[in-house]
Amino acid sequence: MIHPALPYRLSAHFRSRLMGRLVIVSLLIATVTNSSWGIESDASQGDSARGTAVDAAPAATQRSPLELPSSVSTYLGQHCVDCHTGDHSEADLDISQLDFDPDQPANFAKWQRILERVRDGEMPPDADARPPQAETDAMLASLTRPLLDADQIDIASKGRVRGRRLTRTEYENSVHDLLGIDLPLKNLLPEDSSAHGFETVADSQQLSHHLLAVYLDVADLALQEAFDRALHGDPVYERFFDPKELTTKVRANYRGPDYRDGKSISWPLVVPFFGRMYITAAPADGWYQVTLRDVHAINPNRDGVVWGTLRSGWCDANSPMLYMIGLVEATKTPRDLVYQAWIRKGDSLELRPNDAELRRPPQGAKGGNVSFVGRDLEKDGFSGIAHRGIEVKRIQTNAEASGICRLLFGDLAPESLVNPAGPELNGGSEVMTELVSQFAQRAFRRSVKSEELAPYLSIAEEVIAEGDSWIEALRSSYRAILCSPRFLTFIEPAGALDDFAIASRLSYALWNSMPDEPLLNLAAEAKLSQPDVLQEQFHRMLNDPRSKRFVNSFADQWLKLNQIDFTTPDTKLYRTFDTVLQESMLQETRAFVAELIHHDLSVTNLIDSDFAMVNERLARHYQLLDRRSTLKLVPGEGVQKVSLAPGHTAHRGGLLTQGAILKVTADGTSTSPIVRGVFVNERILGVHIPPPPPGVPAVEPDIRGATSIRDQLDKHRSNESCAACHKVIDPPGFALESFDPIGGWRTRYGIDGKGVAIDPSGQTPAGEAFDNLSQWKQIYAQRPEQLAIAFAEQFLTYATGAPIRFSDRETIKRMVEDTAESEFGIRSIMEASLLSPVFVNK
Amino acid sequence: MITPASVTQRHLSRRTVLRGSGVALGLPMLDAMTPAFASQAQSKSAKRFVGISLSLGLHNPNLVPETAGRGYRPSPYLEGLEDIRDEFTVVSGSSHPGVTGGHTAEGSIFSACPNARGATSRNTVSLDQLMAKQLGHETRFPSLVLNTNTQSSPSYTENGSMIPAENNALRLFTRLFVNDSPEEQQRQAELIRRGRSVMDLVGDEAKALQQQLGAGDREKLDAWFSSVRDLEQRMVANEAWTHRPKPSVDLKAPASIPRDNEVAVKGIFLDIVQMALASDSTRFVTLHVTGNAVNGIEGVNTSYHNLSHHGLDEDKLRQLAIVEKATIDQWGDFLRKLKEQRLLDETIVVLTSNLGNASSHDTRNMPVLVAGGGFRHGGHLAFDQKNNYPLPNLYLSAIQRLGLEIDRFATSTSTMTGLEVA
Repeated sequence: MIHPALPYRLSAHFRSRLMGRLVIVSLLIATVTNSSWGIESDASQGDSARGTAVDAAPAATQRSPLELPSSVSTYLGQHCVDCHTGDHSEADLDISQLDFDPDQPANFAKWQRILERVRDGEMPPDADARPPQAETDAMLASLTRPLLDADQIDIASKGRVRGRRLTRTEYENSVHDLLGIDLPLKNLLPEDSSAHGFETVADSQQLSHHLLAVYLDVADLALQEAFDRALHGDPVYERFFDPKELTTKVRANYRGPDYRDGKSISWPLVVPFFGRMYITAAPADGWYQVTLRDVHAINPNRDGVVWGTLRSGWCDANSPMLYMIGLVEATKTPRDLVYQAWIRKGDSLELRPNDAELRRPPQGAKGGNVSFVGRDLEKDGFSGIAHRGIEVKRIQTNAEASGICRLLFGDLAPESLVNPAGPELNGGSEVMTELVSQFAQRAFRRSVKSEELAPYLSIAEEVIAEGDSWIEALRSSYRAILCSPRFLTFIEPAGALDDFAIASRLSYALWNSMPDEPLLNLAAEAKLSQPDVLQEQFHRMLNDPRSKRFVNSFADQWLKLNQIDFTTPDTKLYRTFDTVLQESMLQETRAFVAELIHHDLSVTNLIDSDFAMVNERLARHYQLLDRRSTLKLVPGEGVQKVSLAPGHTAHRGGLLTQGAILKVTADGTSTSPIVRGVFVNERILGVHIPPPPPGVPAVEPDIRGATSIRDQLDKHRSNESCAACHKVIDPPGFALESFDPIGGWRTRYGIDGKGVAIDPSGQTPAGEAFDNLSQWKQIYAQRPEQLAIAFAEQFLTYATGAPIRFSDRETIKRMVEDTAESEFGIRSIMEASLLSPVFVNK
Repeated sequence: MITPASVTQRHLSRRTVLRGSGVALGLPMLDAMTPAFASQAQSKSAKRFVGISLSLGLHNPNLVPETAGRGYRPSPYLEGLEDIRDEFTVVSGSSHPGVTGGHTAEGSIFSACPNARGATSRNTVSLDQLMAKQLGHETRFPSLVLNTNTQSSPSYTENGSMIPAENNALRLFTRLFVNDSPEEQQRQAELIRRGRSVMDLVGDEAKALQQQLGAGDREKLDAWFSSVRDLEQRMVANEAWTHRPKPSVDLKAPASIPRDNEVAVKGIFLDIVQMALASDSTRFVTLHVTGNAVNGIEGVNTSYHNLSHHGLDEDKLRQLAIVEKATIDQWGDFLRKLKEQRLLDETIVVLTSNLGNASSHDTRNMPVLVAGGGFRHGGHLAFDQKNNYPLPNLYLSAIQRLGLEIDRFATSTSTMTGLEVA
């Protein structure tokens, strides 16, 4: 809104604001009452704003103009406006020219920010010059009220969650559930962008004809796969490769495994693709079960294992990409190891020891690259992975052909559908109606009225009228259903969600996919809106194996695990990094989150825990296995729960000291207390960190004279306007400086710890001093409520698809208090969240 | 027989069609309109645009020449382009008004949409897409949106939706130059035939839902309408292309794509782009350069992102200069090839970045090199480093150079001062 620039005088300013507003308000005044939760829409504003405006969201409701409470304007005038006025306002915030119009989202956000910065004691910046607390409290109270009102009116009329669409992961799972197929679809769709930390958030989801074209194409591909399998059955393939075959030399440049005593052995050679087995090339794209027979370790390490990787790929410099199938933890005792993987046509398996700490045989000898020829590497003390053959079998990870057939054709035999005469033989259009209706109800996740079904039926009828078969007709109708906004988006009218909408929200939250039959039945009986029923379903769904999708998807986004590949650690600096380590880190953090959920452990475990979820590779990386250690790991068990001896908890325990977290918050060569500090604040402590304001001059980093990242930052912090935020951002980052970019413990910077000493000390924003991470943890482990609120907000943002609103905060605070009984258990917080008004309203 | 006057008349009438009705845009050109196109070709306006954007900026002290105007002494980065210095212009001291936010400003590189501290909820149409929407229907691909690494792009549709980029050079090559199998052609044709009725239905459903759901979801559902309309137009246009063979070109499909050398990846993409232009497969291209791996480059052992945060460290600056110089040299090679094939005069090529100083995430003083398109080049347009000149003016110049009758783009104030048509 444009208003004349007035010299500073709050009252005059707001008068002018009022006058300006008369013009705007005159057009349409709609009222919204709290009781009706009705939809009040301004039909005139539909198309006009599209494509041009930056802040295009039109206000659907116009109330009588609001006046800034006088206590607020007085306070701001006395304590804030000196710095926040005119062209050179601090943080580009000119309070003297700021309207009070909280019905406008952008204006609301500014006032909310003012409120929060004053409330949190960040403003005014000089603590000594602050007004008495009572005066501040009074101001905060009078500003809070109108903001709360404006926020609630907006939520009541438009909802928090606006037009959310399926993410590509949700799309893939839904199509799989609908059709029974297991064809990977996710990578055919464009990556989802994320907002407020999550891909599920509607704000970040955009639609263009490019995406629509992809939806059409992918729906067609998925249906082609489903119909092909339903009509022609499942592909069959099964082969056993014995060690002799696997080690047959097929090319001059042999990089296959060694053959000895009827065993195939992979050694830790440095050459790329060593351990590739071309003979295993997959006959077609598909899911395979790969069984390694009698896997065992040669010269295992002190803990009795040798680590390796099983991967698939073209295994050639022309196409170097290798896809991880799984970790191989070879033990002294031979074991069969079983894996499932999607393997592309022509791709081969590669099995190799993959542990950067293994001693590697030097190249040369008689065999050139493959230095095992003419030597006895076992005798020379090198470690290796041996096995007695590989079984490869085509599998279906979802339904078999008969199951797909049922999902597509119900009880009809597909043979009866191949010609246009089909309908007459099978009861005609009623059967068609029934099939399309069944499919649509599952896809749309709600009951479908006949008039809603009609357009999908008429598509099928058109095809039959053209003389095509019933098969074609059904396929066309199903394709339209898969492209419908009723399938691709969440249908949630404003106000309280109906039972079907609750079913969908619940199911996508906990399973990443559409509701199953029991859930839809409860919705149809209108029972799901009953809290006890909802509660029961919550536990049923969390106990179902499908909840693993939630754990992975939520943890991947919440903790940025999906960015684990974003940087590649400099192997000259971090020599112990390897693929097994990275994969183990992911497994650790996912297992840790799952452990907290399934056993309802306290949210304080995020800060510190007396247990860890590690495998042998990680335990070694974390130095948990030194001589004094009493830690016992079962060889071959992979990630397992271990108690941390008191001596070790100083370094490990909790979420923040896990390798994955430390890696995704570093850039591969160096760490940044800012990046880690922002991560800890926003994701764990629930403190939102705004981007640097435009008014703050960009600081040209100069690391030439600085001796450590910390000194560099101190220079930055010496600027007062930077310091206000950095005193919040930096402390956890400082404490975490004791960990390098791959999560290793360090006391000094530089290669091999030859640089300057780490200083992990600091002071919390509230002024509590800490010497190191361990002390920092002690401070925050005492704040379970803060952590619980933060976790609930993260979970609800993910589960509903919209950020937590200003007026939700009080609800969440009360809700979290009720979980104190369970010591703020993670599962209890999730349960309370799903039963809260935030979850069951649009 | 067509007199000059009637050519003008036809020319205008086509414009009217273009401006007036969205639906007409995707239709195959009617024979009656052909003379209008012929006349356009004769008018020697440019007809292609290639925008290359670097997500990590260019170190300005190495890029910007010390003196302004023609006859500037080449900066370290421009030394390798002396033979083609008359083919491009260096622009310094310009940026997009109201665009800040460091890396988040990437979305505004070609849209110039003010982004309110990187928090804008909706972008506006990017330059390339505006051009493609008006003029892209003559080629198999109205535009190409490419990225060397990820799927993010600075190309946005009219409803502010990001177009996911093609980030696989082999797949790009295949799409452009390798004919689909007969079965796949059949499937595509069938999909287009049946797809149109699906789109009708989807549009109707979006309308029904809008009535059902009300104000909160309106914006999202609006996107469904425009997307349906746009896709229907595309399907009409694509139907004709489905059965036509793709051009065969004198370029091999990329056999391997290096994983540790971003500059080489960019080179592979540029080779394909150049062939795409030469074969008239498309006329509008953006290539966003986002890769981080440069360890494969001689003399470089630190990641690109890390180097860009050089903090004035001498060794990092030295390594960064190796990477950036190679990038500029490659851009030069691209220009040389276009020139050789006599495409350059009709092709506007822009190289820029959202970051003027990547080390401090500063979005002012964006690096800008502009070539071709029939402009008079050879100089250094030096604007005020402190009070930047609006870069959207360059975009407006480009738009008008293509013959589009548009007099404002984003926050432009005029066409670009000092950039004249040759």
